[in-house]
Amino acid sequence: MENRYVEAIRTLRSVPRVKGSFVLTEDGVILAVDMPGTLPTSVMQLVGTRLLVLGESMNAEGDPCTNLELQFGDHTLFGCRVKGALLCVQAEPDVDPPALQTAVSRVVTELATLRGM
Amino acid sequence: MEGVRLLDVVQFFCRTTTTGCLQVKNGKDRGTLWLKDGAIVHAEIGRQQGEEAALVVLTWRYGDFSLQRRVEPPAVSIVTNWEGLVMRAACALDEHPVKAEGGVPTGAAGVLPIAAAGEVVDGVTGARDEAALPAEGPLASPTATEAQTAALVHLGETVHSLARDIGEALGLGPPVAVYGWGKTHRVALVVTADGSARLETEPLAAAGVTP
Repeated sequence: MENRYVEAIRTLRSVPRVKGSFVLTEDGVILAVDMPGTLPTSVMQLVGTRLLVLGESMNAEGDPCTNLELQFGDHTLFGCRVKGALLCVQAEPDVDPPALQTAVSRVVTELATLRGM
Repeated sequence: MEGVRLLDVVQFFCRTTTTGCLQVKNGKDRGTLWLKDGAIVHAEIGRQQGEEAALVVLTWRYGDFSLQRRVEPPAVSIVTNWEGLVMRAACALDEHPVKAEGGVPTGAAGVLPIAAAGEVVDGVTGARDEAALPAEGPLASPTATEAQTAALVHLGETVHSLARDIGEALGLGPPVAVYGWGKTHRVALVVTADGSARLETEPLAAAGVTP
């Protein structure tokens, strides 16, 4: 099952300037990682936990935060909350937003199917 | 979880409706918090119990901790909601700013100038809402309380700190901006050249974001 999650998120790399992605559950369990380089599980857990708290922190009144965008110097980290999970994508700042959005939508659907939702 | 701010850890467990026993070690001190479905219902530190014990633990900036999930509390000594406790702890921490690990200043003034001197925050009421951003309108207003202002400052500081940790862990460097949005509004934390940050909210349409 884990490999199928990885297969699903790996398709995001077909979008130019996407560098990698990972997905975790809302209680912080990492489901799949496809990030550049080798990142220890402990690092991914640390990142995942912070992203979840960050998303919770950015809820506006009556409008829960479902999307995140963290801009760094050379990369941007996008977060998309799906039922019970958070999909995160690392890309260069000039990634094509419609192409990314289309690919993310497809992956979100696939992840939801894999999770039985 | 070395270097993680304890208050953020506790908030995470509360928000994820955790039940369990959180044991915290801060140097020679030991404290325990019991959570029931995300609520902080009991705390012990030495012979001290209840809300005061919880506040002592929550105002430890860092500590080693371990969580035993699904452990039921031995007693219920706290009825205040967790947001209220966290807010009080955050205010106490802000009153005693120190340099946090990694050089992140925790004092309000240097981190998040969302409300200039004499300005306060509007549109935020109640303990729960103090932790949420007003969906519309300026964050600075002349009618909010000092606690509400402190709550927003803490919120911005938390977002900034979390984003810095993420950037550092992934080797991406410090954050330039952080955006979060739902169906109607976008919240933005914009980091300025001097390292301070500004928190804003605006309707998605005004922000040019497609929901």
